[in-house]
Amino acid sequence: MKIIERDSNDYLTIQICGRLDSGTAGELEAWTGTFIPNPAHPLVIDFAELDYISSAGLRVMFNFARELKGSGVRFAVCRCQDHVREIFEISGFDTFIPLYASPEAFVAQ
Amino acid sequence: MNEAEYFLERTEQSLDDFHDWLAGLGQSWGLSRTMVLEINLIIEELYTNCIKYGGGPDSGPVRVALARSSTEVQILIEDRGPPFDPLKVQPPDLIQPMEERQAGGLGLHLVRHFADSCGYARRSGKNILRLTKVIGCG
Repeated sequence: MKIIERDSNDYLTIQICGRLDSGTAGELEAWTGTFIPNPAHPLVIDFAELDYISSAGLRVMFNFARELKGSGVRFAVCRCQDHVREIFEISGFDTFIPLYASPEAFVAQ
Repeated sequence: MNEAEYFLERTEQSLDDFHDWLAGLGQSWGLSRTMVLEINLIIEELYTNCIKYGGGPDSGPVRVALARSSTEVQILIEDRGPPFDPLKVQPPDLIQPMEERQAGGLGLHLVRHFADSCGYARRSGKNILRLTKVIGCG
């Protein structure tokens, strides 16, 4: 798994690439632990290159989403692959983590 | 009928190696990418469950056996941990609001969703899970 951060004027992007499973979820958890939420700066979580997610990855995403919500940061998961989207939906995550086709669509909201 | 087996050690690296092995197997068995990902998910969830609730390193590796017929893939997962039937675990409440929801408990929910059938037996000191996935036309 790889985490890439990008900052544009309008929003911050973190792209999560590869596999988010029980072997790698800890890395993302460590990253979220260092993240400083800024309510003025929306966050795009880019899943375009996320090939696989298991319950270990979902657990980290859940805690991160709860933290973001609590600190008033606008955020969304963008460009989900179908397989990952299905897992999000089965888990009921799409009710509290907004999913968008693209970062542009999210920012335009 | 094609058959293959894999022994998952109780170490961190083992799932990565297993993933590569399964991807190769899926290719030679002509399985779709989605099918391979879903089988991978089922096995990861049940394996991590064995590690969490099962015995320590003394229990040895978790055995995974796969068989492909023309219509389905059978998955068998065997471990020597204490008796535990993961299929009896209460499913999580998915309609609770986020604030009240627990982060965990989703693994077995995903297993139940993606497997077309599943069954548990305790035999010769082993937990034995048998699951199937029907091969769709997709």
